[in-house]
Amino acid sequence: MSDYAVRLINVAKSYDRQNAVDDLSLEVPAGSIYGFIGPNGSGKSTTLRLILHLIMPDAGVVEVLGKRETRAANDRIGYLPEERGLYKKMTVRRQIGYFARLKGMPGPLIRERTEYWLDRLGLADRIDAKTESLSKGMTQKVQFITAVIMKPDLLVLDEPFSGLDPLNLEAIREEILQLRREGTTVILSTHDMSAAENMCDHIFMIDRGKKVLDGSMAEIHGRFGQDTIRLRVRGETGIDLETLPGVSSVRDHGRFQELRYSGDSRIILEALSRHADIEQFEVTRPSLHDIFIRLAGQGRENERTEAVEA
Amino acid sequence: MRKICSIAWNDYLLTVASRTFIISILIAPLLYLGIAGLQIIADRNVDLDIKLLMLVDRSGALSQTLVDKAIQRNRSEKVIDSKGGEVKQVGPMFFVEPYEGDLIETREIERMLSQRVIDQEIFAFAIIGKDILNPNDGPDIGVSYYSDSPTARDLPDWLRETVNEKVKSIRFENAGIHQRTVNKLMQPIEIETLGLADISVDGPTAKPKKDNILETFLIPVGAVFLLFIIVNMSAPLMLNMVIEEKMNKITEVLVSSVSPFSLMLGKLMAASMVGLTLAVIYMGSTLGFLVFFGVIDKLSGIYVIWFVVFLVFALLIYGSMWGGIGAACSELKETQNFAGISIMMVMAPMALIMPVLSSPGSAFSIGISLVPLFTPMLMLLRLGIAPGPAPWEIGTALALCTVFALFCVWAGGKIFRIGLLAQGQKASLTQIVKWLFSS
Repeated sequence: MSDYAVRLINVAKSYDRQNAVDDLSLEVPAGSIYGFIGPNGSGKSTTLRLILHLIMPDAGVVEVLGKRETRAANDRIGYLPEERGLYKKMTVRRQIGYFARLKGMPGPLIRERTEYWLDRLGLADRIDAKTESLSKGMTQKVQFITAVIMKPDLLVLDEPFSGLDPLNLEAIREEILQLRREGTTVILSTHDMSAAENMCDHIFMIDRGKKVLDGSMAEIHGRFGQDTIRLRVRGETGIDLETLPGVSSVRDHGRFQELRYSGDSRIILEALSRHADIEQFEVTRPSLHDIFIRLAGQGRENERTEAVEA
Repeated sequence: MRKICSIAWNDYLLTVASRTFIISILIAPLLYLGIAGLQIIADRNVDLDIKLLMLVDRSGALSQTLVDKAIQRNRSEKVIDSKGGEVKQVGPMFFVEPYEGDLIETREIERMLSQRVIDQEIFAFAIIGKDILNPNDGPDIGVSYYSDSPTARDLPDWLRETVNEKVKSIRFENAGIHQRTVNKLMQPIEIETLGLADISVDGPTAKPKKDNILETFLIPVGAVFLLFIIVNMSAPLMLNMVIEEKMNKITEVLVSSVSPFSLMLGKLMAASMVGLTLAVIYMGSTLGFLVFFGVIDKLSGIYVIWFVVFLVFALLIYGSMWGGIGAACSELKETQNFAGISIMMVMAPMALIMPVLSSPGSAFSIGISLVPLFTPMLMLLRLGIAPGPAPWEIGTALALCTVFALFCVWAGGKIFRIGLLAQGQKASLTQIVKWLFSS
């Protein structure tokens, strides 16, 4: 078996002469959780659709589970789209059974797995309920089951946590990790940066159809280094934080501020201590959230510059 | 194939197990029959007014006859229905009032009586020429009828019929021919319409069978109407199923498991199964009806088979069209423009039923029934009318229909493949044509 569950090589796709994905290459290691992040309209959904063979690339190669032929590996791929949808008038049992049959599963196995998953996610008593009678969280769990019932080799999840309460979120998160432990490769597309940072082995970021970040969390942290100070003061600071030596930007989180700096943090501490009663001064690595903001912000800046130049 | 069958079975169950479907099975034929019935009821019951005709009889010979004939008509079955002991007015009453003023110049009378029509004192007026009984005596031989309701034809028609009858009778009398002799001479001849003699046996054969309205009209026309009802109830299901899945965001999950073409085939199978279910229900009821009245021998088994064959063709052709429309649109309201075209295509052959029925072997009937879009209905109609189309016509129709049905499925599949995932985009007709020719 290949080391990679998915490989995209120089893939391009455009709609009405607008590049949605431009010369994109990526490799998703088999058995990993691969975080897929990017601003809205960055080309994320197009890339996921290319991986699922819902659309064909204009150029390049899409290889999924070792197959380059269209749809050859479809029965081994589970998919949870961002926009959830189930048949409202169908019962939970029939719904799961229908999607499982479309993945080529035999009847007896469908029955066994349906009961297993419903029991596991606390929905065993709703097996004969119509979908329209379920709560939003329950509906999402049912849709999650339709994506994983055939024990996929590749699971593509688009915003799996959106709209879930903390309890349901934890249940789904645990199942994703369990599937990874059992050998499933997971592509997790999300705007929830903390979930991506905590769960993913690799992170891939796309912006304006191009790859802007790709690597393991360790590699990404290594690339951005420790350039962040987390600061909490009592009362007001008597100084504009951006005027402190070496500080390039300040983000106010309410209860604390994050300062991006270069140079020696001790000089900043010394300058600050003369103007504020410091409660916390912690030199740390930027979070994935910060990295996302920086990269996406940089992208917007470049876009503006290009527009002005044009 | 297993996946296509799963889709077909799932969509079939979703449709037939719904309350709406069960209700529509009962309502649809009632609705179509109701429209036809409404026409008859409206014809008989809508106009129950009293229509007063002012008559200026310059001949002086017809007024009283028309007054009497109007009263006689009002008592007749045309106006009063007294079946079952209950007397009920079912048509307008006519009364004729002779003009008793001075016989002044025609233009003056026209002005005066027109004012009375405008004031709604009378419904209409008529002027009978003074030379009407003896055309050789002068030029004033006509009858002029005046009203402000030119579409109300019943009163002028009655007037024409009654005046003609009376004038002819007077003219015969003046010529010395007795009315009884006239009636005898004018007695109409009935024509018995028969089928052909059986020439397959030697020697004397039985008398050819009399034409039967059930066999020659009701069964073929009824079969076409039944096919029309079933197509109208089943083919648009394709659109509903596709749009519902698009609106409920199920489509993307489905096409991540099966190809759009397989998805369309599955849905087409489902729509066809629904159509065949309806056919079984409606045909079963019809057969029961024919058995009950002892006329089951008027319906041939071969004709039932042709019905099923052309029903399947119609479902494939129209189902693919509706499916393509559903795939190209994101919401139901967007489908309206395209749906109009599809409805016209199903309606067109219905508008051609009467010309084909009156002359099923004409070049026009042969040509039009070979147009694949019309074949399912019009060839079925021709097959029901003796002597039926020639074998080459049936063969050509089946071949053209097969090719066209395959083209529709292919084109529908193409639109399906691209249109299904084009969420939120409004497809124009030009765009759909582009999709057809895209690789």
